[in-house]
Amino acid sequence: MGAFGDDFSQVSTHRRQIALMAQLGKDAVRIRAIDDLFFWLASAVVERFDVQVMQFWATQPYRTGQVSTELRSMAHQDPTLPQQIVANMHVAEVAGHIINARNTLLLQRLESIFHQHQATLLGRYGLRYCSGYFLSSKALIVPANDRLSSEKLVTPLTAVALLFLRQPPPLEVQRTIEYILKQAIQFSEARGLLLPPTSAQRIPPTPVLRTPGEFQIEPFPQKPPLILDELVPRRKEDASLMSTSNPLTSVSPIADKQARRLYAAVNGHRSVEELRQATHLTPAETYKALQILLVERRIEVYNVRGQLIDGSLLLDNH
Amino acid sequence: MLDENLIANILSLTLFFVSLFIALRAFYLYFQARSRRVFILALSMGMIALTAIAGFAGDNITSINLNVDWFNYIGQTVSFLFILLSFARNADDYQRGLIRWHIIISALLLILLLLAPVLPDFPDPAVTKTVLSGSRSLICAVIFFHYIIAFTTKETRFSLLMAGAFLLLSAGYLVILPKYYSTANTTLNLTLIDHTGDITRVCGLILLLVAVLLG
Repeated sequence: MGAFGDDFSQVSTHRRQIALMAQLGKDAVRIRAIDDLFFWLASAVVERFDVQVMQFWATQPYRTGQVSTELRSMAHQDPTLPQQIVANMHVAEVAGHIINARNTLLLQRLESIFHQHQATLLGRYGLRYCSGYFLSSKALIVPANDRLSSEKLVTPLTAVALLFLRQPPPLEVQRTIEYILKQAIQFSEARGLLLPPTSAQRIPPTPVLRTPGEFQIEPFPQKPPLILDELVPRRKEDASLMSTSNPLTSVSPIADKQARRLYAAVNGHRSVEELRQATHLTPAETYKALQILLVERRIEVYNVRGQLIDGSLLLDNH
Repeated sequence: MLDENLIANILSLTLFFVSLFIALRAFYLYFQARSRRVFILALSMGMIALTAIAGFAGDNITSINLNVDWFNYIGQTVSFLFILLSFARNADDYQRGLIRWHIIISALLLILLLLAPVLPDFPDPAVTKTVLSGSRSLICAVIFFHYIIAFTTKETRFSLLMAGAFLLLSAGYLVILPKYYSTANTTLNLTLIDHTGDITRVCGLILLLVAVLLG
């Protein structure tokens, strides 16, 4: 194509981007959680760009110290496509590899990414190509609300948008999808679908061993990270209150309602998990409330052995 | 000649409004900040406010028999005591235990108030009232010394004003002790003692209000 065609292609790409973002703005009121956004994106891309399958996989740490790659959302064109064909450990491994590499996987044939068996299986349903867009943010992603949600920890967003296609899409489509995904992350930060960036839990990256010609993931043994649910918060009472300082003027209110609820339940013996159960807060709400109380220096946090934990470990993003 | 009840009424109303103000402000702060010490202060001052209005009612309502002395004396003694105890230790377990007992005892005191129409007089009133009033003076004196020590540690206007307030309150309760056990026939002297004690306490309450507003 000549210059005119290039200009037309750019205009077309730009228009599609704007149209999709405008649609997101219209549908925003129905999007209440990050998984809703992921599903919206996957459905929109599958519908508009002739992508056969789109998935969102994200890193999920557990309080036991394990880290896994979990499927957060998926949309597919073919309603008869069995989910286990595209949502299985082989695909999870590839998603995990892309996340660990922290780089986008350019469009490739499936045979160069998956084991032969998996590639053949996918090929039976007309899926021949795959690409993966790496997504990350310092903002925290709330764990999916499933039967294991109490075991999961919030973590900075590290995810991959995995696409399965019948044929290679035009370059403009690939650019549009990449643009939309970046905009969507900003949208989610702005709309509070991701929690404010702190990093109480530093999840060490899982090193990946890759033998030539194959994709393999061999997790190295990890030091267990700070297990938040086992920590015991204790109040930091101002010893001078009512003695040298006026209690009616020097006591500052706890502005956040959930932090106030959590603080009222702190008795120096209950762990974070027990406090969460007592206050009926979600893990994300509990974590946020703890951070607020730590920042306001109203509590100190101790481990199960009664040792004081440096509160900055639960706040700093080293 | 002054109405015998005028100064007592002024004392009761001053005590009521000052205590009520502090109690309401403290309760509001407690629900915002959930500080245990603030709750103890709120409940104590609330109870003292109740004793003040009960005393006012007891002194001025003559149509029915209201023996509010049990509630007044014990209520004020207990309330000052819990304020003093809240200074003793900082530990959360201790403060929580203190709150638990404070609530229980306050509930029992309210029963005393509700039973005011039917309660008898103090057994041996001279001794009982002397002991109860004396204990109020003693507790306020200890609180005074606590604030003096606090002031020497860190010189703040608040601790100085509070020390002054509790000194006046302690002195006010001490001054009136003779009226409980005195057998003197000079009623004027007893009235003078009573008024002196009441005025001293009014001054202490005003200083307490200044302390919490400006301290």
